[in-house]
Amino acid sequence: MAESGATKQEILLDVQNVKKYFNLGHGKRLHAVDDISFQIRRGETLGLVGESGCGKTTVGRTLVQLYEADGGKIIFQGKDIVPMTRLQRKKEQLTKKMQMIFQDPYASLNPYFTVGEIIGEGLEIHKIGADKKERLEMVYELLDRVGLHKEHANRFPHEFSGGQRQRVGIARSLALNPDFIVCDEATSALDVSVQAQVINMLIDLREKMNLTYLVVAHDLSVVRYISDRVAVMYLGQLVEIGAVDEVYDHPMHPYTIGLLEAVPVADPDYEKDRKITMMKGEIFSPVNPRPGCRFATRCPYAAEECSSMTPLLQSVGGDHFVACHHPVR
Amino acid sequence: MEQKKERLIDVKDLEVSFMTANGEVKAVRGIDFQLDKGETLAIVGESGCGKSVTIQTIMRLNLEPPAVIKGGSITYTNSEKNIKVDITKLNNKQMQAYRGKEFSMIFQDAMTSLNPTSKVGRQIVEAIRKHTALSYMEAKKNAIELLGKVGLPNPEAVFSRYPHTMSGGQRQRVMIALALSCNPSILFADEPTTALDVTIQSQILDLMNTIKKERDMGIIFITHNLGVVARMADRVAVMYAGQIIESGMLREIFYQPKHPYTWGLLGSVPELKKSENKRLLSIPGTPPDLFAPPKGCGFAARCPYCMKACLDYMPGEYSITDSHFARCWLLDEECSTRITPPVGRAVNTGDSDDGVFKTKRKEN
Amino acid sequence: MKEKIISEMLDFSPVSEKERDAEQIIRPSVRYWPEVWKRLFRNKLAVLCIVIIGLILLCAIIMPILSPYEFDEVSLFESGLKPSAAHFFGTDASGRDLWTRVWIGARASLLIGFLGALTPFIIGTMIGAIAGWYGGRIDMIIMRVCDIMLCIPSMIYMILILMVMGGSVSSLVVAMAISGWMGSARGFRGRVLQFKNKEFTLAAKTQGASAPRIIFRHILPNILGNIAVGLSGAVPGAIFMEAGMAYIGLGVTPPNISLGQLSTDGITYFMSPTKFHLFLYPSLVISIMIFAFFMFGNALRDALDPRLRDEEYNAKRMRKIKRGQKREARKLGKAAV
Repeated sequence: MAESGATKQEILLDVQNVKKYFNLGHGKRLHAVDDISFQIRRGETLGLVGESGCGKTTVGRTLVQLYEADGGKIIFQGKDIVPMTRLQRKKEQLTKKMQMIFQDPYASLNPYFTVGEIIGEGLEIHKIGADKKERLEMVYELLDRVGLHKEHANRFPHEFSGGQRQRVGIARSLALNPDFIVCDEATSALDVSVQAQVINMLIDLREKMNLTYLVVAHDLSVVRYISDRVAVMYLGQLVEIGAVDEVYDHPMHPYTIGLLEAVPVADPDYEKDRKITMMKGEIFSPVNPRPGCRFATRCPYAAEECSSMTPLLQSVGGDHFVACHHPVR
Repeated sequence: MEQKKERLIDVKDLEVSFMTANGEVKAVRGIDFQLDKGETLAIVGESGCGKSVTIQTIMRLNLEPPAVIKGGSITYTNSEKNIKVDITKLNNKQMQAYRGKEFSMIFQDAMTSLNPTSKVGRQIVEAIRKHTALSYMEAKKNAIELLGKVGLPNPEAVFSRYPHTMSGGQRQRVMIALALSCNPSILFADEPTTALDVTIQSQILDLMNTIKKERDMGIIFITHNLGVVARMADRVAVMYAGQIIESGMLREIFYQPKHPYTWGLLGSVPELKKSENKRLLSIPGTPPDLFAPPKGCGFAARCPYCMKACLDYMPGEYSITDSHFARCWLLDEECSTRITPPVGRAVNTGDSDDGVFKTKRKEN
Repeated sequence: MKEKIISEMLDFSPVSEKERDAEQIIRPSVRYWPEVWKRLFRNKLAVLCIVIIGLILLCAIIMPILSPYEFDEVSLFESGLKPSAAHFFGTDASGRDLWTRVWIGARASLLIGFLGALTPFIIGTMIGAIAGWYGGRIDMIIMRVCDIMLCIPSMIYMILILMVMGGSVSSLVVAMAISGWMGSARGFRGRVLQFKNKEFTLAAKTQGASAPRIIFRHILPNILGNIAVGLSGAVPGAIFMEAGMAYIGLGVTPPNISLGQLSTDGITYFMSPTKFHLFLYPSLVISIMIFAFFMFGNALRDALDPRLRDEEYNAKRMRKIKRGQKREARKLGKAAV
């Protein structure tokens, strides 16, 4: 799936030291995203994995400007969008270029809109197409693209099944012909058979429309299947990033290793023979985090410097970066 | 290898419907299955296929109305306590003696099933005292012991904590402790790990396996995650549109599946281990609306091998081995179509080499 | 249903994908509002209320026109008459026709009812939307103003404004607007906050939708039901308020009249055996009016909740089953005898 030519492609999105904090009051500050940097090239899919509460959704939402970053740069097509005002962003037509597919196919569609209205909303806002009729034609085409029928345009979201709704969400995100789409857990609320439908569809659309994805997910198998590169997040920070096969086959960060070991595999014989080293403890919320490696409390290899010095992302060969004082070889 | 295990639950031809003003929704349409002692049965299927309704019917947790048991029987046997009853015949009051004591259940979302205004220890103590004659102090001792057993560190401290001060994984452990408090013989688990992170899921699954071995309980596990099934189950029942369309031992289902829906289900899971990057097998369309279930096979509209007979007649059960059956016309000896399953593993079991087993139709 | 399947019936020829549609939706399309109306009109009490409200509206519009008397036409020869064919509701001490006066008064009361409910609501909605959407300091300031104004009894504003502006329909509406916007501002702010972080609102944002578009096109329809219920409760409230103001002498000033004013005037004759009708008819009309609006509001609330429909259906079904069981038992009892 990985395009070997992708490495030569231009950099579409360059995220540099982005931070997003949430004030919780009483002097508490949630470091949801703490100093994250990565790049996405045009036509490439980057998977972003981590457990709930690690800040992966916040990264996605910050990129499409649902949240304002508290620091750092987000350079999209050569322009830093963080300092831009609302008007400047409107002029740049950022909403047309960056789109998002949401997690919950039930909550992400307004129950009082018909499916046609939902998909056509962006067209209406940006005044694409000469009149209502032309826009409706475009909606029909989009419905067709996600495997739904023309007649479905007049129906309301609650009449559809979860998979169908998620495809409506995909059609909506495609309506403005974007370059970059954030898929925020786009398949996690779906049943497996339907999930496969949606994953295949996302892959086909990527090829057909030359899309670039950031796939935010907690399901490691889905990310491996769909992505070219993968970034692993823990408590607001990246711990490992690299080409998918490289990270999955030779994980170096103890957290990545634990995460991969924990995933149950749909193969009884493999499961029976497999030795699972159980990762102890649970992920905590990054409120006023202490210095040092945030994984140190759960890490089986934690040494002294781990709780005092924050490890930085360092290359362990080629495109593979790990933030760990003692990467596992 | 044939050691006769004690049968706990025997479900026969169970039919459950929900009455709505728009009409009857036939959620469960005639299913049979059994559960033996010390066995984990996994019921897999998509949401809306009737798997949750099935176990909620066994526990009689559905509100009646709107739910109605239209037919069939659920026989529960416990030779130690000399119990043999048909659960469908019990009323709510009689049922209360079984809930918690004989059967208990853990849910997907522990937060909604624990009382948020009461300390977790207290909730366990109450459950224990409801079914036994223990004093408060004895019950408390038991509760703390249980909390320790489910892997909560410092159980004395946990005893007096409120559910909302705990993390999702810890709450799920409390739920399990609560479910085990009266030593039930069957544990129902309705997607117990779906809301949890993988590392926590792994811990909880491990805990459940340990408990099963220790107590020799029967577990009915509902999930749509086939990885979890592979780790937990002894037997698997695949449900679709209110029916069990295939059932068998774990390896039979994963390596020699016979029903096209099972093929689709197995083929649609992206693999974590590296294999050549083949395209995911996806099942087109959506499950039928049980408000108006199809006349023939429920899966016909989405099946890539659909035949005329599938649209008109419901296939019966075809047994492949003693423990393995499937409902599909492709298995009929008169059907000449031969299809090599896209999934599974070639195992020398004496099957015909194309992997499709033909069998005689069972008389309905 | 369980017919025996014979081999001859089975046709094992393949069916192409075109012949079956895996994406079809079988259930009939159910739209929200038509469904609400359907439920509303099935409720007999609601229909009765609608008829009453309609009749009152109709009477208020046409009765004064049809009537041969003017509402302020004084005729000393006909003072204090009891209801008759010439004067349906009789006449008052100055010989003015009460029938005409009641419907003219109903006009004023209805106007106050509708405007007095709508104006504070619209103002409150706007303010609440701004507070909820922009949040931060704007929200804080607006909400503090709201709190302070809520601390002062609304009667005080009403009395002050009416004393300054004089008693008329417009000044009553202004008074109600100033004293009543806080409730709906608070309510709407809460709703905006609730929907602000819903995924569909975020989706609209990523599509480039502006704040007014999100608030009015996305959020408002979602709470229209609650608004309708609130408004149908506010209308009788405003009518009631006007009657109360009239009682303390701050209603519409003569010669203009309202139902509240008429009832207040009639109260003096409460114990009078001959002029009791002067109290009876205006207060009867106002009571029926308020009752109809309130009951309509309740019926609307029920109609808006689709879950009630299935519950109702099942309750009916259970009653039927029980009745059947009783009948059976009775039959058995008889047979035994």
